[in-house]
Amino acid sequence: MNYLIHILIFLQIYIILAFSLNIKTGYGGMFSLCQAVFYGTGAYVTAILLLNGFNFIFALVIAILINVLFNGIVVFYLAKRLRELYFTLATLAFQIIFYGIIYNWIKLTNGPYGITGIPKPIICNIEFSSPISFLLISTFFVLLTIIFFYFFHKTYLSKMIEATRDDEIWVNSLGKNPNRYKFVSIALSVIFATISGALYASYISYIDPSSFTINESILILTMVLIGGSGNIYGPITGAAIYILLPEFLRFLNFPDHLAANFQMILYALILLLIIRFKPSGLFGKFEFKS
Amino acid sequence: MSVALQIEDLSKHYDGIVAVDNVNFAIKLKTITGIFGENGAGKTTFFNLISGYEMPDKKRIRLNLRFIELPVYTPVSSIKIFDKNADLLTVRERCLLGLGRLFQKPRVFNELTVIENLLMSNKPIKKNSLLVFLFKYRVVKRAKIINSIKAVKLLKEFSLYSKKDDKAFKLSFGERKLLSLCCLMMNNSKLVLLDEPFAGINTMMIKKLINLIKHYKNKGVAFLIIEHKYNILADLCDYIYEMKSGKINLSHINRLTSY
Repeated sequence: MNYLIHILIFLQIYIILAFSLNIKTGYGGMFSLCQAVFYGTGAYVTAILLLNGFNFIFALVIAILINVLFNGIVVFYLAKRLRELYFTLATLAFQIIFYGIIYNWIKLTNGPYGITGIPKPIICNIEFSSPISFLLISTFFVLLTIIFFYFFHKTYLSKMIEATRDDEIWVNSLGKNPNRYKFVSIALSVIFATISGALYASYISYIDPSSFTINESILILTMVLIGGSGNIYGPITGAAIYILLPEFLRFLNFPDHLAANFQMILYALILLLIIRFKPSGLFGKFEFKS
Repeated sequence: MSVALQIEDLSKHYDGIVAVDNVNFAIKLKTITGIFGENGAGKTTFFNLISGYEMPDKKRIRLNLRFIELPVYTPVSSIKIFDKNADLLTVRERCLLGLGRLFQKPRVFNELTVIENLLMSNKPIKKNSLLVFLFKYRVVKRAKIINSIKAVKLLKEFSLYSKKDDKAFKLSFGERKLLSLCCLMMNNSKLVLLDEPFAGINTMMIKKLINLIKHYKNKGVAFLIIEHKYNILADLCDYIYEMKSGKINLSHINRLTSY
Protein backbone atom coordinates (compact mmCIF):
# COMPACT_ATOMS: atom_id res chain seq x y z
CA MET A 1 0.00 0.00 0.00
CA ASN A 2 2.78 2.38 0.92
CA TYR A 3 4.42 1.49 -2.35
CA LEU A 4 1.35 2.58 -4.29
CA ILE A 5 1.10 5.80 -2.34
CA HIS A 6 4.76 6.48 -2.98
CA ILE A 7 4.27 6.07 -6.72
CA LEU A 8 1.18 8.23 -6.65
CA ILE A 9 2.99 11.06 -4.86
CA PHE A 10 5.82 10.90 -7.37
CA LEU A 11 3.36 10.89 -10.20
CA GLN A 12 1.73 13.99 -8.82
CA ILE A 13 5.03 15.81 -8.40
CA TYR A 14 5.88 15.06 -12.00
CA ILE A 15 2.44 16.07 -13.22
CA ILE A 16 2.97 19.50 -11.70
CA LEU A 17 6.41 19.67 -13.29
CA ALA A 18 5.06 18.67 -16.68
CA PHE A 19 2.38 21.34 -16.41
CA SER A 20 4.97 23.91 -15.46
CA LEU A 21 7.02 23.13 -18.54
CA ASN A 22 3.91 22.95 -20.68
CA ILE A 23 3.04 26.59 -20.08
CA LYS A 24 6.48 27.67 -21.24
CA THR A 25 7.08 25.20 -24.05
CA GLY A 26 3.61 24.32 -25.21
CA TYR A 27 1.91 27.67 -24.96
CA GLY A 28 4.90 29.98 -25.10
CA GLY A 29 6.84 27.98 -27.68
CA MET A 30 10.10 28.30 -25.77
CA PHE A 31 11.81 24.95 -26.06
CA SER A 32 13.83 24.98 -22.86
CA LEU A 33 16.12 22.50 -21.19
CA CYS A 34 16.37 24.13 -17.78
CA GLN A 35 13.23 23.09 -15.95
CA ALA A 36 15.33 21.25 -13.37
CA VAL A 37 16.84 24.60 -12.41
CA PHE A 38 13.48 25.90 -11.25
CA TYR A 39 12.65 22.56 -9.71
CA GLY A 40 16.00 22.41 -7.92
CA THR A 41 15.94 25.98 -6.70
CA GLY A 42 12.47 25.38 -5.33
CA ALA A 43 13.62 22.25 -3.56
CA TYR A 44 16.80 23.78 -2.12
CA VAL A 45 15.28 27.06 -0.93
CA THR A 46 12.36 25.25 0.69
CA ALA A 47 14.66 22.71 2.29
CA ILE A 48 16.96 25.34 3.78
CA LEU A 49 14.05 27.41 5.07
CA LEU A 50 12.30 24.36 6.52
CA LEU A 51 15.49 23.31 8.29
CA ASN A 52 15.69 26.78 9.82
CA GLY A 53 12.26 26.31 11.31
CA PHE A 54 10.05 28.24 8.93
CA ASN A 55 6.50 27.35 8.10
CA PHE A 56 5.98 25.28 4.91
CA ILE A 57 3.66 27.78 3.23
CA PHE A 58 5.98 30.68 4.09
CA ALA A 59 8.98 28.76 2.76
CA LEU A 60 7.08 28.01 -0.42
CA VAL A 61 6.19 31.65 -0.98
CA ILE A 62 9.77 32.79 -0.38
CA ALA A 63 11.04 30.06 -2.70
CA ILE A 64 8.66 31.21 -5.42
CA LEU A 65 9.79 34.82 -5.02
CA ILE A 66 13.48 33.96 -5.10
CA ASN A 67 12.99 31.65 -8.04
CA VAL A 68 11.07 34.19 -10.11
CA LEU A 69 13.41 37.04 -9.25
CA PHE A 70 16.63 35.20 -10.03
CA ASN A 71 16.05 32.27 -12.38
CA GLY A 72 12.91 33.65 -13.98
CA ILE A 73 14.60 36.93 -14.88
CA VAL A 74 17.63 35.14 -16.33
CA VAL A 75 15.51 32.91 -18.52
CA PHE A 76 13.33 35.83 -19.51
CA TYR A 77 16.40 37.73 -20.61
CA LEU A 78 17.51 34.75 -22.67
CA ALA A 79 14.05 34.44 -24.20
CA LYS A 80 14.02 38.12 -25.05
CA ARG A 81 17.26 37.91 -26.97
CA LEU A 82 17.36 34.41 -28.42
CA ARG A 83 15.03 32.36 -30.58
CA GLU A 84 14.30 28.68 -30.98
CA LEU A 85 17.40 26.50 -31.05
CA TYR A 86 19.68 29.25 -29.73
CA PHE A 87 17.39 29.69 -26.77
CA THR A 88 17.48 25.94 -26.15
CA LEU A 89 21.28 25.97 -26.13
CA ALA A 90 21.38 28.92 -23.76
CA THR A 91 19.03 27.20 -21.33
CA LEU A 92 21.18 24.11 -21.53
CA ALA A 93 24.15 26.23 -20.48
CA PHE A 94 22.09 27.73 -17.66
CA GLN A 95 21.21 24.25 -16.46
CA ILE A 96 24.86 23.22 -16.38
CA ILE A 97 25.87 26.41 -14.56
CA PHE A 98 23.17 25.76 -11.97
CA TYR A 99 24.41 22.24 -11.40
CA GLY A 100 27.93 23.58 -10.97
CA ILE A 101 26.75 26.08 -8.40
CA ILE A 102 24.77 23.69 -6.22
CA TYR A 103 27.53 21.12 -6.46
CA ASN A 104 30.24 23.51 -5.34
CA TRP A 105 28.55 25.97 -2.97
CA ILE A 106 29.20 23.73 -0.01
CA LYS A 107 28.36 26.30 2.69
CA LEU A 108 24.81 26.69 1.48
CA THR A 109 23.90 23.43 -0.19
CA ASN A 110 26.33 21.00 1.43
CA GLY A 111 27.62 20.15 -2.01
CA PRO A 112 27.48 16.58 -3.24
CA TYR A 113 26.54 15.25 0.23
CA GLY A 114 23.17 16.90 -0.08
CA ILE A 115 20.85 18.22 2.58
CA THR A 116 19.49 15.63 4.97
CA GLY A 117 16.71 15.55 7.53
CA ILE A 118 14.33 18.00 5.87
CA PRO A 119 11.24 18.13 8.08
CA LYS A 120 7.83 17.19 6.81
CA PRO A 121 5.46 20.09 6.21
CA ILE A 122 3.44 21.35 9.13
CA ILE A 123 0.35 23.30 8.15
CA CYS A 124 -2.03 24.62 10.84
CA ASN A 125 -0.26 22.55 13.50
CA ILE A 126 -0.92 19.31 11.64
CA GLU A 127 2.20 17.43 10.68
CA PHE A 128 1.90 15.64 7.38
CA SER A 129 4.44 12.95 8.14
CA SER A 130 2.85 9.69 7.03
CA PRO A 131 2.71 8.96 3.29
CA ILE A 132 -1.09 9.04 3.27
CA SER A 133 -1.27 12.46 4.83
CA PHE A 134 1.39 13.71 2.45
CA LEU A 135 -0.74 12.40 -0.39
CA LEU A 136 -3.41 14.85 0.77
CA ILE A 137 -1.11 17.83 0.31
CA SER A 138 0.23 16.73 -3.04
CA THR A 139 -3.27 15.95 -4.28
CA PHE A 140 -4.32 19.42 -3.20
CA PHE A 141 -1.52 21.01 -5.21
CA VAL A 142 -2.12 18.83 -8.25
CA LEU A 143 -5.81 19.68 -8.27
CA LEU A 144 -4.89 23.33 -7.86
CA THR A 145 -2.58 23.09 -10.87
CA ILE A 146 -5.07 21.25 -13.04
CA ILE A 147 -7.92 23.58 -12.18
CA PHE A 148 -5.71 26.59 -12.73
CA PHE A 149 -4.65 25.42 -16.17
CA TYR A 150 -8.15 24.31 -17.07
CA PHE A 151 -9.40 27.85 -16.60
CA PHE A 152 -6.21 29.46 -17.84
CA HIS A 153 -6.60 27.63 -21.14
CA LYS A 154 -9.70 29.67 -21.92
CA THR A 155 -8.42 33.11 -21.03
CA TYR A 156 -7.35 35.97 -23.22
CA LEU A 157 -3.89 35.83 -21.67
CA SER A 158 -3.26 32.23 -22.71
CA LYS A 159 -4.41 32.94 -26.26
CA MET A 160 -2.10 35.92 -26.32
CA ILE A 161 0.81 33.74 -25.18
CA GLU A 162 -0.02 31.32 -27.99
CA ALA A 163 -0.19 34.22 -30.42
CA THR A 164 3.28 35.32 -29.31
CA ARG A 165 4.51 31.80 -29.96
CA ASP A 166 3.07 31.82 -33.46
CA ASP A 167 4.25 35.23 -34.62
CA GLU A 168 6.13 37.63 -32.42
CA ILE A 169 6.58 40.34 -35.05
CA TRP A 170 2.89 40.41 -35.82
CA VAL A 171 2.02 40.75 -32.11
CA ASN A 172 4.42 43.66 -31.93
CA SER A 173 3.04 45.36 -34.99
CA LEU A 174 -0.49 45.02 -33.63
CA GLY A 175 0.61 47.23 -30.75
CA LYS A 176 1.24 44.68 -28.03
CA ASN A 177 4.39 43.87 -26.17
CA PRO A 178 5.41 40.26 -26.85
CA ASN A 179 7.96 40.33 -24.04
CA ARG A 180 5.21 40.83 -21.51
CA TYR A 181 3.54 37.60 -22.55
CA LYS A 182 6.85 35.78 -22.57
CA PHE A 183 7.49 36.92 -19.03
CA VAL A 184 4.06 35.81 -17.86
CA SER A 185 4.55 32.34 -19.28
CA ILE A 186 8.02 32.02 -17.77
CA ALA A 187 6.86 33.28 -14.39
CA LEU A 188 3.94 30.83 -14.29
CA SER A 189 6.30 28.06 -15.27
CA VAL A 190 8.67 28.98 -12.45
CA ILE A 191 5.88 29.15 -9.89
CA PHE A 192 4.59 25.66 -10.58
CA ALA A 193 8.05 24.15 -10.82
CA THR A 194 8.83 25.64 -7.39
CA ILE A 195 5.74 24.03 -5.93
CA SER A 196 6.77 20.62 -7.15
CA GLY A 197 10.33 21.20 -5.95
CA ALA A 198 9.07 22.04 -2.49
CA LEU A 199 6.88 18.96 -2.41
CA TYR A 200 9.78 16.80 -3.53
CA ALA A 201 12.17 18.17 -0.91
CA SER A 202 9.80 17.73 1.97
CA TYR A 203 8.59 14.33 0.85
CA ILE A 204 11.98 12.69 0.24
CA SER A 205 13.52 14.67 3.13
CA TYR A 206 16.90 14.42 1.43
CA ILE A 207 18.09 16.31 -1.64
CA ASP A 208 21.38 16.32 -3.47
CA PRO A 209 22.56 17.84 -6.77
CA SER A 210 22.18 14.58 -8.69
CA SER A 211 18.37 14.99 -8.67
CA PHE A 212 18.61 18.25 -10.61
CA THR A 213 20.84 17.43 -13.52
CA ILE A 214 20.30 17.88 -17.21
CA ASN A 215 18.79 14.38 -17.29
CA GLU A 216 15.94 15.60 -15.13
CA SER A 217 15.29 18.50 -17.50
CA ILE A 218 15.27 16.18 -20.46
CA LEU A 219 12.94 13.79 -18.66
CA ILE A 220 10.43 16.58 -18.00
CA LEU A 221 10.69 17.78 -21.57
CA THR A 222 10.11 14.26 -22.84
CA MET A 223 6.98 13.95 -20.73
CA VAL A 224 5.55 17.10 -22.28
CA LEU A 225 6.61 15.97 -25.73
CA ILE A 226 5.01 12.54 -25.43
CA GLY A 227 1.79 13.75 -23.90
CA GLY A 228 1.49 16.62 -26.31
CA SER A 229 1.91 20.24 -25.45
CA GLY A 230 -0.44 23.18 -25.43
CA ASN A 231 -3.36 21.51 -23.65
CA ILE A 232 -4.20 20.06 -20.26
CA TYR A 233 -4.39 16.33 -21.03
CA GLY A 234 -0.92 16.04 -22.47
CA PRO A 235 1.18 16.66 -19.35
CA ILE A 236 -0.93 14.29 -17.25
CA THR A 237 -0.62 11.51 -19.82
CA GLY A 238 3.06 12.10 -20.39
CA ALA A 239 3.90 12.04 -16.70
CA ALA A 240 1.73 8.97 -16.16
CA ILE A 241 3.43 7.05 -18.96
CA TYR A 242 6.89 7.90 -17.74
CA ILE A 243 6.31 7.24 -14.06
CA LEU A 244 4.00 4.23 -14.21
CA LEU A 245 5.52 2.25 -17.06
CA PRO A 246 8.87 1.49 -15.36
CA GLU A 247 6.98 0.26 -12.33
CA PHE A 248 5.40 -2.52 -14.35
CA LEU A 249 8.89 -3.66 -15.32
CA ARG A 250 9.44 -4.48 -11.68
CA PHE A 251 7.09 -7.43 -12.00
CA LEU A 252 8.97 -8.89 -14.96
CA ASN A 253 11.82 -9.98 -12.64
CA PHE A 254 14.74 -8.65 -14.62
CA PRO A 255 18.11 -8.98 -12.98
CA ASP A 256 19.07 -5.76 -11.26
CA HIS A 257 21.95 -4.83 -13.50
CA LEU A 258 19.72 -5.07 -16.57
CA ALA A 259 16.63 -3.36 -15.23
CA ALA A 260 17.98 0.20 -15.32
CA ASN A 261 19.30 -0.22 -18.85
CA PHE A 262 16.07 -1.75 -20.01
CA GLN A 263 14.18 1.20 -18.59
CA MET A 264 16.25 3.63 -20.67
CA ILE A 265 15.69 1.49 -23.77
CA LEU A 266 11.96 1.58 -23.14
CA TYR A 267 11.97 5.37 -22.71
CA ALA A 268 13.88 5.78 -25.96
CA LEU A 269 11.55 3.39 -27.76
CA ILE A 270 8.46 5.29 -26.67
CA LEU A 271 10.03 8.56 -27.71
CA LEU A 272 11.03 7.24 -31.13
CA LEU A 273 7.58 5.79 -31.77
CA ILE A 274 5.92 9.04 -30.81
CA ILE A 275 8.22 11.10 -33.00
CA ARG A 276 7.67 8.78 -35.93
CA PHE A 277 3.92 8.37 -35.75
CA LYS A 278 2.54 11.39 -33.93
CA PRO A 279 5.11 14.18 -33.73
CA SER A 280 2.77 16.53 -31.91
CA GLY A 281 2.40 14.10 -28.99
CA LEU A 282 -0.57 12.01 -27.94
CA PHE A 283 -2.93 14.90 -27.27
CA GLY A 284 -0.92 17.68 -28.81
CA LYS A 285 -2.00 20.01 -31.52
CA PHE A 286 1.25 21.79 -32.12
CA GLU A 287 4.62 20.46 -33.25
CA PHE A 288 7.86 21.81 -31.90
CA LYS A 289 9.82 23.86 -34.36
CA SER A 290 13.32 23.36 -33.07
CA MET B 1 -8.03 67.34 -46.48
CA SER B 2 -5.55 66.89 -43.73
CA VAL B 3 -2.30 65.06 -44.00
CA ALA B 4 -1.94 61.63 -42.44
CA LEU B 5 1.77 61.17 -42.83
CA GLN B 6 4.37 63.79 -43.60
CA ILE B 7 7.92 62.86 -44.48
CA GLU B 8 10.75 65.31 -44.86
CA ASP B 9 14.26 64.45 -45.98
CA LEU B 10 13.99 60.79 -45.14
CA SER B 11 17.09 58.83 -46.01
CA LYS B 12 18.69 55.56 -45.13
CA HIS B 13 21.92 54.03 -46.26
CA TYR B 14 23.59 50.71 -45.60
CA ASP B 15 27.30 51.41 -45.66
CA GLY B 16 27.87 52.58 -49.23
CA ILE B 17 24.45 51.71 -50.60
CA VAL B 18 21.80 54.37 -50.42
CA ALA B 19 18.47 52.63 -50.00
CA VAL B 20 16.23 55.63 -49.47
CA ASP B 21 17.49 58.98 -50.65
CA ASN B 22 16.08 62.27 -49.34
CA VAL B 23 12.44 61.44 -49.77
CA ASN B 24 9.89 64.18 -49.31
CA PHE B 25 6.45 62.78 -49.28
CA ALA B 26 3.01 63.14 -47.83
CA ILE B 27 -0.12 61.04 -47.65
CA LYS B 28 -3.52 62.60 -47.22
CA LEU B 29 -6.20 61.10 -45.08
CA LYS B 30 -8.83 58.99 -46.85
CA THR B 31 -6.84 58.44 -50.02
CA ILE B 32 -5.09 55.53 -51.69
CA THR B 33 -1.51 56.20 -52.67
CA GLY B 34 0.49 53.81 -54.76
CA ILE B 35 4.22 53.49 -55.22
CA PHE B 36 5.62 51.25 -57.92
CA GLY B 37 9.16 50.43 -58.79
CA GLU B 38 11.48 47.64 -59.68
CA ASN B 39 13.12 45.24 -57.25
CA GLY B 40 15.72 46.89 -55.09
CA ALA B 41 14.35 50.37 -55.58
CA GLY B 42 14.08 50.73 -51.81
CA LYS B 43 10.34 50.29 -51.47
CA THR B 44 10.42 47.82 -48.61
CA THR B 45 13.11 49.78 -46.78
CA PHE B 46 10.89 52.84 -47.14
CA PHE B 47 8.06 50.88 -45.52
CA ASN B 48 10.31 49.65 -42.75
CA LEU B 49 11.34 53.22 -42.00
CA ILE B 50 7.74 54.41 -41.82
CA SER B 51 6.55 51.53 -39.68
CA GLY B 52 9.53 51.70 -37.37
CA TYR B 53 11.41 48.47 -38.02
CA GLU B 54 14.45 50.41 -39.10
CA MET B 55 15.82 53.71 -37.95
CA PRO B 56 16.40 56.44 -40.55
CA ASP B 57 19.66 58.37 -40.88
CA LYS B 58 17.98 61.72 -40.56
CA LYS B 59 14.98 61.80 -38.36
CA ARG B 60 12.04 63.45 -40.03
CA ILE B 61 8.79 61.58 -40.03
CA ARG B 62 5.62 63.13 -38.82
CA LEU B 63 2.55 61.07 -38.19
CA ASN B 64 -0.61 63.01 -37.90
CA LEU B 65 -2.77 60.16 -36.83
CA ARG B 66 -4.81 59.80 -33.73
CA PHE B 67 -6.92 56.80 -33.24
CA ILE B 68 -10.44 57.88 -32.80
CA GLU B 69 -12.36 54.81 -31.76
CA LEU B 70 -10.98 53.86 -28.38
CA PRO B 71 -11.64 50.56 -26.71
CA VAL B 72 -14.43 50.93 -24.23
CA TYR B 73 -12.32 50.04 -21.23
CA THR B 74 -9.62 52.63 -21.83
CA PRO B 75 -9.48 55.12 -19.00
CA VAL B 76 -9.64 58.52 -20.66
CA SER B 77 -6.78 59.94 -18.64
CA SER B 78 -4.38 57.42 -20.04
CA ILE B 79 -4.71 58.39 -23.69
CA LYS B 80 -1.49 59.88 -24.94
CA ILE B 81 -1.51 62.08 -27.95
CA PHE B 82 1.73 62.07 -29.83
CA ASP B 83 2.48 65.34 -31.51
CA LYS B 84 6.17 64.78 -31.65
CA ASN B 85 8.05 63.32 -34.56
CA ALA B 86 7.17 59.75 -35.18
CA ASP B 87 10.69 58.54 -35.76
CA LEU B 88 11.25 58.49 -32.02
CA LEU B 89 8.33 56.12 -31.55
CA THR B 90 8.59 52.36 -31.46
CA VAL B 91 6.59 50.05 -33.68
CA ARG B 92 4.03 49.59 -30.92
CA GLU B 93 3.49 53.28 -30.33
CA ARG B 94 3.03 53.88 -34.04
CA CYS B 95 0.44 51.15 -34.04
CA LEU B 96 -1.38 52.85 -31.18
CA LEU B 97 -1.50 56.00 -33.28
CA GLY B 98 -3.28 54.07 -36.00
CA LEU B 99 -0.52 52.97 -38.34
CA GLY B 100 -1.00 49.42 -39.57
CA ARG B 101 1.27 47.41 -41.77
CA LEU B 102 0.51 44.39 -43.89
CA PHE B 103 3.59 42.29 -44.54
CA GLN B 104 4.43 40.81 -47.87
CA LYS B 105 4.24 37.31 -46.46
CA PRO B 106 0.89 37.25 -44.70
CA ARG B 107 1.34 37.08 -40.96
CA VAL B 108 -1.32 35.33 -38.93
CA PHE B 109 -1.39 33.38 -35.71
CA ASN B 110 -1.30 29.91 -37.23
CA GLU B 111 -2.52 27.85 -34.31
CA LEU B 112 -5.39 30.11 -33.34
CA THR B 113 -8.77 30.05 -35.04
CA VAL B 114 -9.80 32.83 -37.38
CA ILE B 115 -12.07 34.52 -34.88
CA GLU B 116 -9.42 34.28 -32.17
CA ASN B 117 -6.96 35.88 -34.54
CA LEU B 118 -9.27 38.85 -34.78
CA LEU B 119 -9.98 39.07 -31.06
CA MET B 120 -6.26 38.93 -30.27
CA SER B 121 -5.48 41.74 -32.66
CA ASN B 122 -7.72 44.27 -31.03
CA LYS B 123 -6.12 47.37 -29.55
CA PRO B 124 -4.31 46.54 -26.33
CA ILE B 125 -5.75 47.38 -23.00
CA LYS B 126 -3.97 50.49 -21.87
CA LYS B 127 -2.58 51.72 -18.58
CA ASN B 128 -4.34 50.87 -15.34
CA SER B 129 -5.47 47.76 -17.08
CA LEU B 130 -4.93 45.52 -14.07
CA LEU B 131 -7.11 47.75 -11.92
CA VAL B 132 -9.74 47.86 -14.62
CA PHE B 133 -9.57 44.10 -14.92
CA LEU B 134 -9.91 43.51 -11.21
CA PHE B 135 -12.55 46.03 -10.27
CA LYS B 136 -14.50 46.77 -13.40
CA TYR B 137 -15.53 43.29 -14.40
CA ARG B 138 -18.69 44.46 -16.13
CA VAL B 139 -16.85 47.05 -18.19
CA VAL B 140 -14.39 44.44 -19.40
CA LYS B 141 -17.17 42.00 -20.15
CA ARG B 142 -19.10 44.60 -22.13
CA ALA B 143 -15.95 45.44 -24.06
CA LYS B 144 -15.48 41.77 -24.86
CA ILE B 145 -19.01 41.49 -26.20
CA ILE B 146 -18.58 44.63 -28.29
CA ASN B 147 -15.31 43.27 -29.65
CA SER B 148 -16.79 39.96 -30.64
CA ILE B 149 -19.72 41.67 -32.36
CA LYS B 150 -17.24 43.81 -34.27
CA ALA B 151 -15.13 40.76 -35.16
CA VAL B 152 -18.14 38.92 -36.55
CA LYS B 153 -19.15 41.96 -38.57
CA LEU B 154 -15.66 42.28 -40.01
CA LEU B 155 -15.50 38.58 -40.87
CA LYS B 156 -18.76 38.87 -42.77
CA GLU B 157 -17.40 41.83 -44.71
CA PHE B 158 -14.27 39.90 -45.59
CA SER B 159 -16.38 36.80 -46.38
CA LEU B 160 -14.37 34.69 -43.98
CA TYR B 161 -17.30 34.07 -41.66
CA SER B 162 -17.88 30.49 -42.81
CA LYS B 163 -14.33 29.66 -41.71
CA LYS B 164 -14.38 31.41 -38.40
CA ASP B 165 -13.63 28.30 -36.34
CA ASP B 166 -10.87 26.96 -38.59
CA LYS B 167 -7.25 27.20 -37.60
CA ALA B 168 -5.55 30.00 -39.49
CA PHE B 169 -2.94 27.75 -41.07
CA LYS B 170 -5.69 25.88 -42.91
CA LEU B 171 -6.60 28.97 -44.90
CA SER B 172 -5.21 29.51 -48.38
CA PHE B 173 -2.49 32.07 -49.06
CA GLY B 174 -4.96 34.67 -50.32
CA GLU B 175 -7.33 34.13 -47.43
CA ARG B 176 -4.48 34.58 -45.01
CA LYS B 177 -3.75 37.92 -46.65
CA LEU B 178 -7.39 38.87 -46.21
CA LEU B 179 -7.27 37.77 -42.58
CA SER B 180 -4.16 39.86 -42.02
CA LEU B 181 -5.89 42.93 -43.42
CA CYS B 182 -8.97 42.09 -41.37
CA CYS B 183 -6.83 42.08 -38.21
CA LEU B 184 -5.56 45.55 -39.05
CA MET B 185 -9.13 46.76 -39.50
CA MET B 186 -10.03 45.23 -36.15
CA ASN B 187 -7.11 47.19 -34.76
CA ASN B 188 -8.68 50.46 -35.99
CA SER B 189 -5.78 51.36 -38.22
CA LYS B 190 -6.19 54.71 -39.90
CA LEU B 191 -3.26 54.42 -42.26
CA VAL B 192 -2.47 51.00 -43.68
CA LEU B 193 0.75 50.18 -45.46
CA LEU B 194 0.31 47.32 -47.90
CA ASP B 195 3.49 45.61 -48.98
CA GLU B 196 2.76 44.02 -52.36
CA PRO B 197 -0.74 42.86 -51.45
CA PHE B 198 -1.51 41.50 -54.92
CA ALA B 199 1.52 39.28 -55.29
CA GLY B 200 0.82 35.59 -55.51
CA ILE B 201 -2.98 35.60 -55.33
CA ASN B 202 -5.51 34.83 -58.04
CA THR B 203 -7.62 37.30 -59.99
CA MET B 204 -10.82 36.71 -58.03
CA MET B 205 -9.02 37.38 -54.80
CA ILE B 206 -7.38 40.49 -56.26
CA LYS B 207 -10.83 41.83 -57.18
CA LYS B 208 -12.09 41.06 -53.70
CA LEU B 209 -9.10 42.79 -52.13
CA ILE B 210 -9.50 45.86 -54.36
CA ASN B 211 -13.18 46.12 -53.44
CA LEU B 212 -12.33 45.86 -49.76
CA ILE B 213 -9.63 48.53 -50.05
CA LYS B 214 -12.06 50.87 -51.79
CA HIS B 215 -14.72 50.12 -49.21
CA TYR B 216 -12.43 50.99 -46.33
CA LYS B 217 -11.15 54.07 -48.10
CA ASN B 218 -14.71 55.37 -48.09
CA LYS B 219 -14.87 54.61 -44.39
CA GLY B 220 -11.91 56.89 -43.80
CA VAL B 221 -8.85 54.70 -43.93
CA ALA B 222 -5.80 55.84 -45.88
CA PHE B 223 -3.77 53.28 -47.81
CA LEU B 224 -0.22 53.27 -49.07
CA ILE B 225 0.46 50.44 -51.49
CA ILE B 226 3.70 49.30 -53.07
CA GLU B 227 3.61 47.09 -56.15
CA HIS B 228 5.71 46.04 -59.07
CA LYS B 229 2.94 46.42 -61.61
CA TYR B 230 1.58 49.76 -62.64
CA ASN B 231 -1.64 48.29 -64.06
CA ILE B 232 -3.28 47.29 -60.82
CA LEU B 233 -2.41 50.56 -59.16
CA ALA B 234 -3.74 52.60 -62.07
CA ASP B 235 -7.43 52.02 -61.47
CA LEU B 236 -7.17 51.79 -57.70
CA CYS B 237 -5.07 54.69 -56.51
CA ASP B 238 -5.70 58.38 -56.20
CA TYR B 239 -2.00 59.16 -56.44
CA ILE B 240 0.73 57.09 -58.01
CA TYR B 241 4.45 57.72 -57.71
CA GLU B 242 7.42 55.89 -59.05
CA MET B 243 10.32 54.92 -56.85
CA LYS B 244 13.69 54.54 -58.50
CA SER B 245 16.99 53.84 -56.74
CA GLY B 246 15.82 55.30 -53.47
CA LYS B 247 14.10 58.39 -54.84
CA ILE B 248 10.42 59.01 -55.26
CA ASN B 249 9.62 60.80 -58.45
CA LEU B 250 7.03 63.32 -57.40
CA SER B 251 6.22 64.37 -60.94
CA HIS B 252 4.78 61.01 -61.82
CA ILE B 253 1.24 61.50 -60.83
CA ASN B 254 -1.87 59.76 -62.00
CA ARG B 255 -4.87 62.02 -61.85
CA LEU B 256 -4.73 64.68 -59.26
CA THR B 257 -2.36 67.55 -58.94
CA SER B 258 0.77 67.45 -56.88
CA TYR B 259 1.14 69.04 -53.51
